[in-house]
Amino acid sequence: MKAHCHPAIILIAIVAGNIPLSAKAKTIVLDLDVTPPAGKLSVTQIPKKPTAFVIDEPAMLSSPQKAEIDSLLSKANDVPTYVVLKKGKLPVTATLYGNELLSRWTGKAKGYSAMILLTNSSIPELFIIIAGRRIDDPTRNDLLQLGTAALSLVNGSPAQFSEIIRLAEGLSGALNTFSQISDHNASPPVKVSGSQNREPATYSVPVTGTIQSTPNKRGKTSQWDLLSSRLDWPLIQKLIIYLSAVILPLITVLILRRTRRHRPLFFPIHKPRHRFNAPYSGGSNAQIKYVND
Amino acid sequence: MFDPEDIFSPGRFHCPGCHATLNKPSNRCPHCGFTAEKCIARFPFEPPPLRRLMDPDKSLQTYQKKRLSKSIARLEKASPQITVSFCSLYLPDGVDGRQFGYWLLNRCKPESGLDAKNRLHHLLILVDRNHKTVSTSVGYGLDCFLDDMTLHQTLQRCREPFIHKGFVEGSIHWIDHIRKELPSIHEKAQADWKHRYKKRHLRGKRLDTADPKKAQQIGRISTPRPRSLASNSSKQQLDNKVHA
Repeated sequence: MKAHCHPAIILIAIVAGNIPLSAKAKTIVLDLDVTPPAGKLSVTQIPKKPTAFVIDEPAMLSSPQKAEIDSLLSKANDVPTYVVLKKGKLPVTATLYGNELLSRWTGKAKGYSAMILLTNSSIPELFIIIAGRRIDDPTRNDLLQLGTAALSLVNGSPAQFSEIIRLAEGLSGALNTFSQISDHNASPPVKVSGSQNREPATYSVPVTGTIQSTPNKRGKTSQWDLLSSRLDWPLIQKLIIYLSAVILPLITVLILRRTRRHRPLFFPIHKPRHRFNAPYSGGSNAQIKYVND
Repeated sequence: MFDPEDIFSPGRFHCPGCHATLNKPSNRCPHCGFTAEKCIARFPFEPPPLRRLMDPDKSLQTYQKKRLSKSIARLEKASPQITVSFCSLYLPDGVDGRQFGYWLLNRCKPESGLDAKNRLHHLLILVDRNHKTVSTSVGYGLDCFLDDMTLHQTLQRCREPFIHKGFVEGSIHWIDHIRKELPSIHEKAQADWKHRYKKRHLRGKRLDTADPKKAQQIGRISTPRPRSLASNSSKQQLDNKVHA
């Protein structure tokens, strides 16, 4: 595979150009999670490994377009690449979902795999997920820098997809080189060639928070990861603050009142009013009959 | 020490013999001539020791005893000064429960000095199963707060449970009712005490400016704080002079 014609990266431009994305759909997240999570999603939530490289649930692509993309992707044997257009809301975050699909479809035999995942939710997002294994830290950092550069460029000027193509060429070169290194068990990372040199300023963009840069530390996806991705944390935080501000003082007041009410009562001591020479009590007139007359 | 009349609104007394209302405490009833000697002569036997539950006829079931004991324990916990006895008896005809309660409360020998001190804050519930009556008696330490009127009113309020559920359930209901009433009674007592104390303190100050000798005498008499507040933690620090 040539360094400048990696089909997955080219497809980014094709898909992005063909699919009518709304104004909110210009986020591209480059996920370089080299250890795809073995998630605990149910079987119904993960589709089976497709025969084609294109899955188009919302039928956004025409048949010739699908055929063209599929033929391009089928040539990329070294780096299996899928184009997944998902309909509706994803059960978990797109990055988790994409990594899960990649890990199940490509397995561990392949050094690298990539996916372009487009979610067709109320806020459509485009994810480019590249899963790689046996990548050392410097190499991963190089990839992250490339991805960050692409991200910043897309965020800054969303209409210029030609710039993405140009960066994608550089990225494809890097991916291809990494793939070759992986095949030959070469450990030292390779500096990215040509295309990087053309845009040195772009590649010096620091890694941003949108890129997940701690893949090896995460290990397997726990049930908590899946659950927490569904929770609305800002709402929960607001609720906690509200509860703390309103209910805790209320509880404190109630506890104080209860404590005050249940404190032991001591009556004042006074001089006894002795009568009938009785030492302890002068008797009482309190009496009732407990039967009906 | 203050006299009760100095601090609290003085309650009326009743003769245990004829139940006539007396305005002043005396050793002999001006109406019927009732005296302690006459009362002792009427019940010429040694009473049993005053326990929490007294049931000489074994008329109470075990679970009833447990429930009564629990209810009494809650009242005693709410006000640690107070000790409570429940006595269920079959009194012969012609014997009044109130008079018998008076005799029992005074005649039972205290087991110790502490018991004698606590007797002043004792509350006796006496059930006469023969005449189907419930009467209550309190010691001198409580009769300013739980006076005859209060006790009678609370008994009247709890009459329905006595009639419909029996004297055990009625007594439990009454004890719980008294326990719930105690905070307001206590609050009133404290407020009265503060009010009277301030009044006396101010009067002492005024006299101090006018006549230093008289003020010195008052200063010796006046008490700095209610003794119950100063000795909340222990019953042993209750007034010794009363029992001397």
